Amino acid sequence: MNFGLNRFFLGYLVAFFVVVGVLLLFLTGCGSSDSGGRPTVVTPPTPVTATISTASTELVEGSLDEIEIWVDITPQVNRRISVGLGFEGGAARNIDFEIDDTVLSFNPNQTRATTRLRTLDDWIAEGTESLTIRIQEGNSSTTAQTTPGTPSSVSLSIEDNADAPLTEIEKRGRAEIYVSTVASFTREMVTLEIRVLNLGAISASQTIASVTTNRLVQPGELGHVVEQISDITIPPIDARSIFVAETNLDLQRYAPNETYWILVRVDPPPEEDSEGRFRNRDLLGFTLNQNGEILVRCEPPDRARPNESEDPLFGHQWPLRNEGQSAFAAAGGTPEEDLRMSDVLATGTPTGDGVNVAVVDTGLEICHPDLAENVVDGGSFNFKANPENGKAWHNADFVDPYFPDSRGDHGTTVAGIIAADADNGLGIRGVAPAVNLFGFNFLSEQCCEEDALGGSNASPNSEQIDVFNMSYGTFGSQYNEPDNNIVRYGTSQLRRGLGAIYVKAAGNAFRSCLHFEHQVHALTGCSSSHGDSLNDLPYAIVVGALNATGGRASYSSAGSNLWVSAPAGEYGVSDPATVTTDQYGRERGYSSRNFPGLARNTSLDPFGDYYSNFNGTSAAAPHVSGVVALLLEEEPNLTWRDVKHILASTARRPGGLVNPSTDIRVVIGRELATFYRDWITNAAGFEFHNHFGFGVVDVDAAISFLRDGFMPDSLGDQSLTDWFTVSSDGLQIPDHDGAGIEQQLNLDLPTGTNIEAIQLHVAGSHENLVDLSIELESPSGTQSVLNPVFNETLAGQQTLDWRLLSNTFYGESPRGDWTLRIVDAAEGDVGTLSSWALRVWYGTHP
Amino acid sequence: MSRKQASQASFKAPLPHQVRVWLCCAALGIFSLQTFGQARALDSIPHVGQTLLAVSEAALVAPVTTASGAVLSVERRGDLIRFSATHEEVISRSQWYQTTRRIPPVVFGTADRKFHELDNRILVKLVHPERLETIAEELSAVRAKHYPGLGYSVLWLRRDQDPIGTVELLRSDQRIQKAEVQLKRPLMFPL
Repeated sequence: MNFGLNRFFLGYLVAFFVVVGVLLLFLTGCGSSDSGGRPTVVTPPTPVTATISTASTELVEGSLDEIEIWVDITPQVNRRISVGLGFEGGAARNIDFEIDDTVLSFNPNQTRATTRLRTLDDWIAEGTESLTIRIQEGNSSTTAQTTPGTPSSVSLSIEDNADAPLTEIEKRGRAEIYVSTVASFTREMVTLEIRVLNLGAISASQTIASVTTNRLVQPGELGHVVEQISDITIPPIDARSIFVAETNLDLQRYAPNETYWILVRVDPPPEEDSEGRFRNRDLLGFTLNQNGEILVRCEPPDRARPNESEDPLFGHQWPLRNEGQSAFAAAGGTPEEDLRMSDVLATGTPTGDGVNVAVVDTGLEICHPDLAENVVDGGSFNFKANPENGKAWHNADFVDPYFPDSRGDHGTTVAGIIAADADNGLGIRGVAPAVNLFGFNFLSEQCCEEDALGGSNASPNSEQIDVFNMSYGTFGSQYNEPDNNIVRYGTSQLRRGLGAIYVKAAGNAFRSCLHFEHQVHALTGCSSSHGDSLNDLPYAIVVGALNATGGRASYSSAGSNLWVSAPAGEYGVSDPATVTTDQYGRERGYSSRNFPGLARNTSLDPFGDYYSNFNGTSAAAPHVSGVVALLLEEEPNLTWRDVKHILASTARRPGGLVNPSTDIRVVIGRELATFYRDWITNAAGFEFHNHFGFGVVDVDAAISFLRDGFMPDSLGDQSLTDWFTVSSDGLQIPDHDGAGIEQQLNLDLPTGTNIEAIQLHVAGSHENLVDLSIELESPSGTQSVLNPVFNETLAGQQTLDWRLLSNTFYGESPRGDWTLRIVDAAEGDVGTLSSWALRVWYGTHP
Repeated sequence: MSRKQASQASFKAPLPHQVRVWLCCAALGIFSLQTFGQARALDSIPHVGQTLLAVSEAALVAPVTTASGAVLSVERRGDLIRFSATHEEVISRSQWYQTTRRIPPVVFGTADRKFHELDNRILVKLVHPERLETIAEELSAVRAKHYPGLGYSVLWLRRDQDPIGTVELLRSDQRIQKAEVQLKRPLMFPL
């Protein structure tokens, strides 16, 4: 036993000395000629030759294309090699281009190494720039044995993309006249209130408005002029200001039982580029009854009920079932880019039965053949029926929000998407074809949000509403306290305290470049969804629009306040729009305008009750309202927060291309700034994109989520913090500098909490606010662009006092350091940040 | 070299509610007194963090300087007028109004330095909401409605009534807990 141990120990001892000996030889340089030891035969390392090549030599600035740069070495050697790269020419590294590696490393026996080069956008007009990438002579211990071969360099050219900075004139913008006319009427007279807005950023000079009325002979064909008023003076209107003119029409001059159109036109002032624009005109219409009074009550058409039960236009409703159909347009969409409600359609349930949905809009045709079945008797309200209102509509009925304008009722088109009856042999089916439908013509009165949005228990009883559809917007980004209070009341008190659900259209301003256009607008949009203060209230579900190929609809406003997206479509001519209900009859409704599409198809729409060109986020929102009604029928105890949570948790990425599918960074001055972010996955696992919110609503997934055990009211109590404010003391925002300013704020909120919404308040001043981009980064590192650079919402403004909502951080912990970044991306105008503040709505999610 | 400027602020528990309320009231009171003191020519009323100064052609026969240094005046062009405010070389203006028509009540916000039109609606909180009709009659209001859930009532004034004067009157009425003018909201439109 002992002998065995000793032998084992000796073995270890010998091995130890052998290892030490080898180490000593190595450390003293044994084997080299200057080691001082016995001379040995040394084989010098094999020299290697490096060559460089690439597949593409002509690049375009900011094109997002990556090119590969290849370096090859010969011969193959059994040791590590490094090859350095040098850069010459007018293009500067990290200003005009960026490259992943400046030294390429080769492992033993590796003969090719690759690096990637990208051009950078700098928004400077600089012409084509040259770039030579050259293999460097070995000059370090690792590259000493490398010599350049042939070719030893590659020459590239970077073509300027002509994305110049905005000039002073472009930044200041132009005048932009927009006309919106509101009619009120008595027995004898129509009063037109002509609201002329200058949406531009400079003052518009004096101009003239005119009013012309014609009889409608048949859809699309006008008869003789009945009345013409051509001398209404419109004085100069300052930027973002309004002038209201008024004129009257004498109803005695109009024959009974006829429909008339009113064209209101304002001559564009010289400052406005009026080419191809139509905002400077407005069209209205009215129908006179047999007594020569304007039709203002819904009278059901005298028609026999169809024998069939199938909805004849259902096959064209791609938002519900997209099979690539064209829906009366030239091209079809992409199959399955829809609401994904095949299970609901197959089983026929849920249908929204018992759920009260209000369309808060211009009106509602309560006797429409495809809507009447779901309209709640006496539940709707006409704000223009009050005789105490100086601008009431003669003979209007309080419970009939009939829209007297014969050229289309926006509310009726919205209502069909939600609530058109199913399987009745007529037209279409709504997403929730058995809801209880209410209409409040809030937009016709421009008043009384308490009544329309849930604060009233009588005339109308809006407290009984479960879902409010708000397919409207405002021109105001200024925070509105009454709106906030009413919607907060609705979410905390209605539905037995579970909270009403407010579904709000995001806006249609993505392509509304009224003042200037810049390439970045193709990614960020001309005006963001933050241009409407209602969208920055955390209580609403703000909805973006998708087209039939699953891409963002061309007009759909983007912003961090979006919650989800839904189908709506394009314009119904080249690409599908939404098919929905219209004011019934050929002489009334959008169909009377004789647009291409269903309006010309008398076999599928024999009476002119439907419309195939409806789009806008106005069309997207009611799809979501319908889905919410399905969820509330499925589980009546869902809170408003549950509904938002389910939609966010089950939304899917739309299948259409998002171009570009990468962040967009631009060199401003000498620093890179990020102005657009691709899909992000936040720290709570939610995917978010400013174009889509959490993605497209997926009905079957949402209902499965419920049926798979989601417990209502399981998100914990919601808390709202006070404002946490950072005083920036007039901190200068560096002009034309991608570094911008960064400030941090530490929030020490309870552990285990989850963000449900966060609002940023920024205050400051700047000579031109469109220069600024505003980004917020959470403690988890999630970044959200709250204000995209060159946002037209801010055109012509100099005072920053803005509350911006971001949903990007949903579910993350609010604890830790938040970072605000503000970058001024254009040269010439300067400004300061006075203060900024955050407040957080949070819960405790399981 | 980055020119980033970073500062850090750390927030723990907010101030106690009573202290915050007291500080806010004190600050608002001082601010209101200052503004009122230097712009006596114009009727004024506190409203959501700022003071609203009533402007009219009559009140601005001569330019008026506000406490914050903004100079308010009237511009004329034929039968049109508009109000303007100049503050540190920045000019803000109201829209043009035809003097041949009724001009709605216009105010200048001392904090946002913008002109606003006032709505003909007044928001009131009554000690006894059931007395709303009586108060509406006394004011010759067009109509009135109580919103029990929201805890306030709305009075619709006649177009020729002065909302600021009416609110001042109501604020001295012991039946009224709170009375507020309402700014006319921006145009809403279908999307």
